[in-house]
Amino acid sequence: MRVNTIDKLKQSVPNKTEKKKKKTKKEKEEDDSHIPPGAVFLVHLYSGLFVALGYWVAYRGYSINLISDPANTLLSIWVITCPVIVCLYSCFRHERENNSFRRAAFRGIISLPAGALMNACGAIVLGAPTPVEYLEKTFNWSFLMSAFTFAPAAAVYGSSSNDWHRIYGWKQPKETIDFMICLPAYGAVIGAWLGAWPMPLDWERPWQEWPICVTYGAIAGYVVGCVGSWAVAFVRDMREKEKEKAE
Amino acid sequence: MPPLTCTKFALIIITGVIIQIIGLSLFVFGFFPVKPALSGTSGSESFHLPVCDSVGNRSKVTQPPDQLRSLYQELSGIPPSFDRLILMVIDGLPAEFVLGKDGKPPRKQFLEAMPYTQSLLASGLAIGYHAKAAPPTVTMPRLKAMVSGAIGGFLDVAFNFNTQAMSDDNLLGQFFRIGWEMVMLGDETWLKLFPGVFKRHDGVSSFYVKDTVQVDQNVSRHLGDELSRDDWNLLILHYLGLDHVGHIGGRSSVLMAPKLKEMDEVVKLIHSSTINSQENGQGQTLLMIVSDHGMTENGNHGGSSYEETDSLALLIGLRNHVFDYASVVQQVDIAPTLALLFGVPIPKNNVGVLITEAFDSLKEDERLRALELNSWQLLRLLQAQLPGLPCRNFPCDAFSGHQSSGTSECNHSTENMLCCMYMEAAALHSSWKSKRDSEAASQKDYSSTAAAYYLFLKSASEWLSRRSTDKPVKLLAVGLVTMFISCIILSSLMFLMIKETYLGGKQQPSNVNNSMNRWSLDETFIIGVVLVLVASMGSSSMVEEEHYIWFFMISTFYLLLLRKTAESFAVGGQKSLSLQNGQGGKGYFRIFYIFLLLISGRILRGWHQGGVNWTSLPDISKWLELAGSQYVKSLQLVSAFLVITIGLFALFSIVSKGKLFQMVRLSFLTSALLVLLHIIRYQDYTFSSTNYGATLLAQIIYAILLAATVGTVVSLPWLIPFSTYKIRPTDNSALSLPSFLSFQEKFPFVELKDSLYVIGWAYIYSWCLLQLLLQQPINSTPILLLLVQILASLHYFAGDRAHRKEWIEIAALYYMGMAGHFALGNSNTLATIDVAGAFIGISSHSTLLSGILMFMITYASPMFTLLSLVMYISMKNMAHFMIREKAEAGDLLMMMLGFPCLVPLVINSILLTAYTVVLLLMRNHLFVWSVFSPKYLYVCATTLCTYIGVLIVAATGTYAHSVLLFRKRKQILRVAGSGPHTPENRGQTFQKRRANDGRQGAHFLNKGFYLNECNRNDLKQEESGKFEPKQQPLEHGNEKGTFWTVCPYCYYMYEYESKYEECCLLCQNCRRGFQGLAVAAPPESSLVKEEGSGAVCYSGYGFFPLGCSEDSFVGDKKEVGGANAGKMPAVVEISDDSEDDDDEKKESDVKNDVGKVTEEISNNGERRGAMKKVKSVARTTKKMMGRGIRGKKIENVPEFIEESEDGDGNGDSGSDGNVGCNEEDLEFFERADDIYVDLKDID
Repeated sequence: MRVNTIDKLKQSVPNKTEKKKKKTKKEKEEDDSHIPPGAVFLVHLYSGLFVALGYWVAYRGYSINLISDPANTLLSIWVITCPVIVCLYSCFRHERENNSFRRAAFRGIISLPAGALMNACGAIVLGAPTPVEYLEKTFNWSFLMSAFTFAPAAAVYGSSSNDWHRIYGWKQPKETIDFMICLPAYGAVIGAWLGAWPMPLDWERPWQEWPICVTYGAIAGYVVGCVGSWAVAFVRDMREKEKEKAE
Repeated sequence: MPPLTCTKFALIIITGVIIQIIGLSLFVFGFFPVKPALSGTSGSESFHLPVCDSVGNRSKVTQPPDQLRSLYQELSGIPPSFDRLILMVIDGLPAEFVLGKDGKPPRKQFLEAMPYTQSLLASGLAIGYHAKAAPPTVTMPRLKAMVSGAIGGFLDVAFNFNTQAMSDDNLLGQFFRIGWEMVMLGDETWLKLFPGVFKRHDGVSSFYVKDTVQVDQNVSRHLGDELSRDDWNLLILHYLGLDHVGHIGGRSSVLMAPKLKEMDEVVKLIHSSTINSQENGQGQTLLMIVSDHGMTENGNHGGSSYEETDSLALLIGLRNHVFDYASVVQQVDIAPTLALLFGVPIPKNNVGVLITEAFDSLKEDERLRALELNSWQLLRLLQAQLPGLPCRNFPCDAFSGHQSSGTSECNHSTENMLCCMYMEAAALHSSWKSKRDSEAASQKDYSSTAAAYYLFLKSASEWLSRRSTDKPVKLLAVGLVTMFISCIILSSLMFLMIKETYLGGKQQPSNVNNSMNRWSLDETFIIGVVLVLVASMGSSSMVEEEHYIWFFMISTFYLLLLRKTAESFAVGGQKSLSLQNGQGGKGYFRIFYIFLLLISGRILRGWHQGGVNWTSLPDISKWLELAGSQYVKSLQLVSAFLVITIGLFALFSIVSKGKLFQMVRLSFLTSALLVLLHIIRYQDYTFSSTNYGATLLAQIIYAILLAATVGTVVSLPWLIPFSTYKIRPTDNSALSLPSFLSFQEKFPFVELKDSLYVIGWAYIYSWCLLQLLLQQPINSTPILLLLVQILASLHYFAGDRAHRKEWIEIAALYYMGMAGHFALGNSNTLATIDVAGAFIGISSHSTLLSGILMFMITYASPMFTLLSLVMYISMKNMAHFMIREKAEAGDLLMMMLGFPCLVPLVINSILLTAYTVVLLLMRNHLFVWSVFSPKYLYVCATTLCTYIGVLIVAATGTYAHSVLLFRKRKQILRVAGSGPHTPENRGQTFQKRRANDGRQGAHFLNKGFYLNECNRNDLKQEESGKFEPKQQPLEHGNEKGTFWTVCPYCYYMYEYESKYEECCLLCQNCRRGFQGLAVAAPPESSLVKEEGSGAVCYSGYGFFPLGCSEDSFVGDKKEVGGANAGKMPAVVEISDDSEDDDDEKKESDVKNDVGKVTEEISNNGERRGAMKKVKSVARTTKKMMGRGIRGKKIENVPEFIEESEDGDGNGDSGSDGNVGCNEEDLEFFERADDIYVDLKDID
C-alpha cells in the first residue's frame, strides 16, 4: 500500500525533495492514518518553499514583485505552488483503495477553479474592488487562496461532504491530516481578513493596494497555520508514543 | 436576586438614559463652549466710555462715509499715521521661518531664502512677531479672527459651515463704512467672507493643492499695476503657494526655499514701491505681512500644536525699533492695532490688545488714548459676558475728577479684579491728564499709566480668550463620569436580562439550555465589533474611514451567518428525509436571504466612496452621474416603483377587510402615488424644486403620511379582531404549552404581535416613502437596497431554527443601520450633510423644520433599522423566553420590548462613552478640530437618533399592549359574566394551515406563536351555492354536540363529535397520535371570507407572502378553494394541488381546476354533498404524499390509522389539511393522491 503510493509519487513528482520525504515516511510511518510530525513539517516546508520559489522566479526571472506587478507575481506564485500542494496532499488521500494518486491529484486540480470562485466571491463581498483593472489581480489572488484552502482538502477528501463538513464546520477535526489541512486554511483566511485592515488607512504606502497586503496577510496566516498544525501533529505524536510506552 | 419586573426595568432604563443625557450635555457644554457674542457693529459710541449709554445711542443714524470718517477722526483723538494699508497674507507661513524659535534666529537656509525681509528686520524698518493663532488652525476661521479680533469656538465653525459671509463686526466692514476702496488678490475665501466689499478682485482657488506656482503667479501678476495706482486704500494679497508646498512636501520640502524667495521678492517689490509713493507724496503706506497659521513638520495644519499656531505678524513701515526675535503677540491683536492705527472703531467682539510698538511714533497722550479706547472696547465685551460686573456703575465722569481709592477693593474674584484694574488705570490716566495740563507730568507717570492699562488689557484679553478656548476640566470630568455611570447601568441591566432570559430557567429542557449557554462565534463577533470600533476611534485615519470598518464587519458577520446556515443545512440535509420534512426548502430560503444581504450590502458599499482619503476613487454614484442624468432619473424611478410595490404588496396581503385597513391602504397608496408624482415632475436632477407646486405636493405628502402612520398606530390596537383561544393543555410532553395557553388566556399575545406587525409595516413604509421624497435622486436605489436588507434580515431572523440570542440579532440590525448610514453617502466630516434636501416642502425659512428634515435625511438608515425593530418584535419567535408561572401583564411587555430597547441603547452608550474618552485624550491632537470634533457631533446625533428610535419602539409597544390588555380584561369579564356557555363548538369545519417550519415538535411556543394563516372551508349550500350568513351554521353546530381539538404538533384544528372527547386521536396532517382535549372553537371574528373562492380564512396579520412561510413563494397554491357553508353539510373533498395533471386524468369525479369548487352529488341516496378540491401546500409533500390504495373506503373509523407511503420522493401531491368532523357522518376515501372526506347529511 505504502510502496504503491510512493511509487506513484515518484512517477508524478520526479523531484529530489520528494525522495527525501519518501525516506522520512518510510522510517516513521507505520499505520495508514498516523502521520508523523516530520512528514507534516516537510509537507509544510515544501509548500512554503515553493511559495517562496514562485516569488523568487517572478523577482529574478521577470524582475517583478508583489508591489510592482501584483497580478503576474501572484500568477507565478500560484502556478508554481499549486501542483506541488496538490501532489503533496494527494499522498495523504483518503480511501486509498478506491482512489489512485492520479485521481486525487486530478480532484485537487479540478477543485482549484471552484475554490478560486468561492474565494473571489468572498473577497468581493468583503469589499475587494470590482473595476476591470482589478479583475486580474483578484483572479490570481483567489487561485492562490484556493491552493491554500481548497486544493488540499479536495485532494485528500474528494467530494465526501462529511469530511468537508468536519474540517470546515469546525466540528472537531479528528486526525492529524484534518489539522494539517484545516489549520493552514483557516490561517490563510483569517490572515487575509486581518491583512485587509491597513488598506483604508492614509499611510500612502504602495502595499496598501488590493491585493498586496491581503496576500501578505494570507501567506503569514498560512505559515502560522502550518506551524500550528505541525505543533498539533507533534503533540499528538508524543501522546501516542507515551501511550505505546504505557502499554 | 429578585426577578426583574417590567416597571423596575423601565425605571432603570429611563434613569440610565437621563443620566446619560445629563452627562452628555455637561461634556458638550464644557468641551464646546458657546460664548455670547455681541451683535451689531461698533460705531462712534466706541469712542466714549461704555457705561454712558446716553452718548452711545446718539449716532444711530447712518452717515455718509466721508462724514463718518471725519467724525471718527475727530472722536478718536489719534491722528492716523498711515493712509494706505497693504495686507499681505502668506498662507501657512510659520513665524519660525522668519523670526526663528525661542529667541534664536531662524535656520540658515531660511535666512538666506529671505534676504530682503531679514535686512528690513535687522535695520529696524520692520518689526516681527510670533502671532499665536487659536485653533482650529485652518484658513477661514483664522482670517475671521484677524479681521474681527474674536476667537470663534468650535461650534461656530461647525454650525457656520454653510453660511460663509461674515456678518460679525470686522475691520473690513469698518473700512468699507468709512468709504475705503479695497482690492483683493489671492485666495477666494476672502470673496466668500466679504462679498461685495472689494472694488477689484482676482480670486484663486485653494482647491488644487498640487499647484504651487500658478496660484501665486495669479496674485503677483496684478501687483505692479495695483502698486502704481492710487485709487485704493486697502490692498489684500493672499498667497496660497507656501501652504500648498507644505501640504505636498512638509516644512523641509525642496520647494520651500524657492517659495520663500518668491515671497521675499514680493516684499521687496512692495516695499520699494511704498517708499517711492511716500516720496511722491501719495501718503504713508503700511505693509503688514501676516500668516494665518503655521504648519507641522508634515505640512498639515488644523490642530493646536506650537508649530501650527505659530503664525507671523510683520509690520513694515514703522520706524526705529530694536529688533527682537522672541516677541509674542496674539493673532487677534492685529485687529485692534489696525483699527486704532487707521482710526476706525475696534470691532465689537475683539479680544485682542493693541501692539504697543506700532504706536511708538505717536505722542504720549495719543498712545494713552489708544490704550483707553482698547480698554473701553474690552470693558464693553466684559460687561456683555459678565452681567454682574461691578464697574457697571462707574460714573460717566469718572476720569474727570477724583483720585483712585486704592487697591483695597481688589479681591480675588475675577470680576472684581478686572474691574479694579480698569479703575486703577482710568484713575492713573485722569491724574496723568490733570498733571499734563499743569505741565507736571513726568515720564514715570506716563509709564505707570500705560503699565496699568496694559495690565488690565492683558488680563481681560486673556480671560476673554480663555473663555472661548479653554475647557473647564471639572465639568468635563463630571460629564464623563456621569456618562460612564449610565453606561455601566445600562450594560449591567442588559447582562442581568441576558442572564435571566437565557440562563435563568432551570426547567428548560437540557438541550435547549445547552444551545443557549454555548458562547457562539456570533456573540464573540458582535462584541468584537464594538471593541474594534472603540479601538479604531483612537486613530484619526480610522475615524475618517470609519465606513470601511462597518462594511467589513457587517459583511463578515453575514459570511459567518452563511457558514452557520450552510452548516446546519448540511446537518439537517442528512436527517431531513427521515425527520424533518420541508426543512430543505427552509434552508434554501435562509441561504437565499443571506445571499440577498451580502449582495445588497456589497452594492451599498460600492454606491458612495465615502470618507476622506479615497473619495476620488470611482464608485457607482459617480459612474451614474457621469453616464448622464437620465440614467439616474430612470434608476430612481425604478427603485421608487419597487419600494412602493413591495410596500403595497405587503399591505394588501394582510388579509383583513376592516374599514380601517382599507383606509390605511388607501392613504399609503395615495401618498405613494404622490411621491412618485413628485419624483417625476419636480425632482429634477438640477434640484430646483423650489416652486410652489413642489412645495405644496411635498406638504400634502407629509400630511398624509403622518396621518396614516399615526392613525394606524393609534387605532389599530382598538380595532384588531380578537381571537379567543381557550385551549387546554393536551400534551404533557410539550412543556411550554400549558404556560403558553394560560398566558394567551390572560394576555393578548397573538393580537399584540399582529398589531405590531401592521404598525411595523406602516412605520417602515412611511419612512421609505419619506426618504424617497427627501433623499437625493442618486440615493433612491440605496433606499431600496436598505429595505431589501431589512426585510431579508428580519425574515432570516424570524425563521431561525436555532435559538439565536435575540440581542445578537438586534445588534446586527443596529450595525446594519450604521453601515447603511455610510452607504447613503454620509461620512464623519460635516461636509457631506445634504443641505439641499432639507428645504423640500418648506415654504418659509425655518431653522427648526429644516434641521429636522436634515436630521431625517442624514440618519435615514439608523432610524430605519430602529423602526424596523417594531416589526422584528412581531416576527421574532419568543419561544425561548421564560414565562413565569405567575406571569404579570408587564412580563409580556418586558419580554417583547426588553431587548429591542436595551440593545441599541447599550451599544450606543458604550460607543459614546468610549468616544468621549478618546476626545478628551485627543484634545491636543493635530486633528482634534478637523476630525475628532466633527465625529463627536455625529456621535451625539447618533445618540439622539437612538433615543428617538427606542422611544418610538417602546411607546408603540406599550401603547398597543395596554390597549389590548384593556380589551382583553373587558372580554374576560364579559365572558365570565355570561356564564359557562362560551361561544364555542361551532358547526363548521375549521382547517388551520400554517407553514411547517420544520422545527421538531413539542415546543408549542416555537411554532404556535407564528401560526399565521388558517383557512377554513365554509360549508356551502349545495343547491344555491351562495353563502349563508355565518351565524346560522354556527348555532347549528353548537347544537350538534361537537367539540374542537387541536393537534399539539402541527396545530391543525379538528372538530369531532363529543363522544371522542379525551380519546386518543390521530392527527390527519402529521400522523401523530394525540389526546383529543376540547379547546375553544376558532373565533368567528377572525374569520374572513376570501373573495372569489369562497374560502374562509383565519387570518393572522403576521402572515405576509415574503414572510415566514414559503407557501407564498410556491405560487398560487396558497389560494384555497372554498367549499361552502350551509345547513346541509355536504361532502367535502379535499384534494391536492394542481401540479399533477395525471391526477386529474385519474379522477373522473374531480373535473375542476384548482381552487374551484366542484359540487357533486354523491350517488348514495342519503348523502348529497359537494366535493371540493383544496390545494395543499408543497411543504408537506415529502411526508404526506401518500399514494395510497385507490378508492379504499373506510367506514366509521374514529382514528385514521392507515399508513400512507412516506417519502416516495416525487413530491407531487399531498393531502394534508384534512377535515375531521362528526366522525360518524364521515366517510373516508383514499385514492391515489387524495383523501376524501365525505360528510353525511347531518339531518
